[in-house]
Amino acid sequence: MADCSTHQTAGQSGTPLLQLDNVSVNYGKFRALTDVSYKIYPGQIVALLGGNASGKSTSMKTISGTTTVTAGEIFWKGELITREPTPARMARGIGVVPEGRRMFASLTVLENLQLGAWAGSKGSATSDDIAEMLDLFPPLKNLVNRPSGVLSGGEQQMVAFARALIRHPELVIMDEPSMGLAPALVKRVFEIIEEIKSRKIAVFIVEQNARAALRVADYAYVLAAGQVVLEGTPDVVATAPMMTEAYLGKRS
Amino acid sequence: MQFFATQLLNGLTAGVVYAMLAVGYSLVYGILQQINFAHGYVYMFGTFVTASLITSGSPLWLAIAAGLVAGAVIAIVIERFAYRPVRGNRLAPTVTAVGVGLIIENVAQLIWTSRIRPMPFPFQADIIRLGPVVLSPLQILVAAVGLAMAALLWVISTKTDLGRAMRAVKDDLATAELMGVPVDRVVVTVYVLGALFGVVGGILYGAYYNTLSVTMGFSGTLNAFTATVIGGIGSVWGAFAGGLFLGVLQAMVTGYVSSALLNTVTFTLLIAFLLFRPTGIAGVQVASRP
Repeated sequence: MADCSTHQTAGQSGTPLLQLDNVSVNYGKFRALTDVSYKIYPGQIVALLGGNASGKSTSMKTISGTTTVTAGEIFWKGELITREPTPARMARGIGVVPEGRRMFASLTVLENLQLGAWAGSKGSATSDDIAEMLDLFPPLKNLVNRPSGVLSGGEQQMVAFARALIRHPELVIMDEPSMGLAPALVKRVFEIIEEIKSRKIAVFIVEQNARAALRVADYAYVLAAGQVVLEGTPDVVATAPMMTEAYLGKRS
Repeated sequence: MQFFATQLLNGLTAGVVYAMLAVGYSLVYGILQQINFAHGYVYMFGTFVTASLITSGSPLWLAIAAGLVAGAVIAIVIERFAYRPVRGNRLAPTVTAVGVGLIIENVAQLIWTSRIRPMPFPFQADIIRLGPVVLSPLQILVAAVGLAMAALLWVISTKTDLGRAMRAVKDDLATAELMGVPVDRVVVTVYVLGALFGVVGGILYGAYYNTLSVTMGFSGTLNAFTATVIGGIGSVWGAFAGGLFLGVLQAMVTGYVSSALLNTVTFTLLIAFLLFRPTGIAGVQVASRP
């Protein structure tokens, strides 16, 4: 397992933006996460990789506060937030791009964006915020008054990104943002992630598409059966024998 | 024709009251898929607070305000202690709702006894003649308040952060929480809004009919629930339409057939809608593509 110094050289030093410290999560008798520790530094892209049922989604729920931690602690900029409810955590500066996009289907694109700004520092979205998001995602310009439920998957994914970014978060957590999208749109998704990084916003991304995630990431964790089995910079992770066999496919 | 017009007016007046009550069901059902059977009792209690204050000589505005506050406070307490702990469970909130409703009715009986009491209100003795049609100023008041409340609901739901949040929670409660929406607070607000609409309806009812009884909690529950189902449960505009429809229908049955048939007609309608058109007149389903 790579040590912490690798993490620091890849990203930043000092206090992590978000830190999970030996977190375990049980669902009844089933242990979904065991002693998992993650660190995400400001402006860093951190990828979380792993197969089905490896604990990726539980990790996301642990960060957003929608599942209860059995043991361990969670820190935001060094402050303990383990028991903090979801809306308060989000208000600290976390944006979420949920798995399956999860549109508010009967709300228009504009209303989805306004909702996204709820937990922002200003409380609700200004017209500048809306304009900024429409500049970032030009295809949404003609769709602002359309109910988001009738949009295509790619359009919905853009709404999901804009909804997470409009509150100017310091960290965006993304659960499988490329899932179910056509290859051209998957490419666009990863371009957007790099765009987000260029704005000094940290990203914690869960992805099945390990190769694409490692291309944009500064650091990566690999989960298996609820435990971190490998971590390090993308080079380290990509060349680890277990990764090339399990996720990336053997290359000649 | 004159008789028809008079019955139509009576029906529309009752319909507005049903609509006020039905909105409370629809707001709550729309968000939590829970049928809030305690709602009818909350409206009864608030109305009784207003009526007893009027009887004891309080200024009208104070009596109305106290009734509204009582309804809101009861709604908050019920939500916190009877509903929130069992939220997400399909059956439990319905059972706790019925239980809480009976408790409210018993408390009301202890305070006000079960006798029928009047509710003095301005204009009760006045009439207005419009050609052959006889109108009460209170009918105009009922219609005006009904329209104003509908307008208020429309503004809240489409123009405010709260309204957006209510619709977002209705679409996807878990994701609303992820967006930082304080879901618990939104849910409490929905119960309070429902209670306020109900108490307004109850006060209009008391003012117009000048007769109240603690059993109106139960009959209010049944009529308003039927109105909600007719209109399409979960749709607040459907609740208005269903309330007006049921009010007019009952007035026609009373006027042209017999008031003894009222419950039969009401429940036949309820069952027919549940069987053949469970989404009601306005039941809308929003398609969502993955």
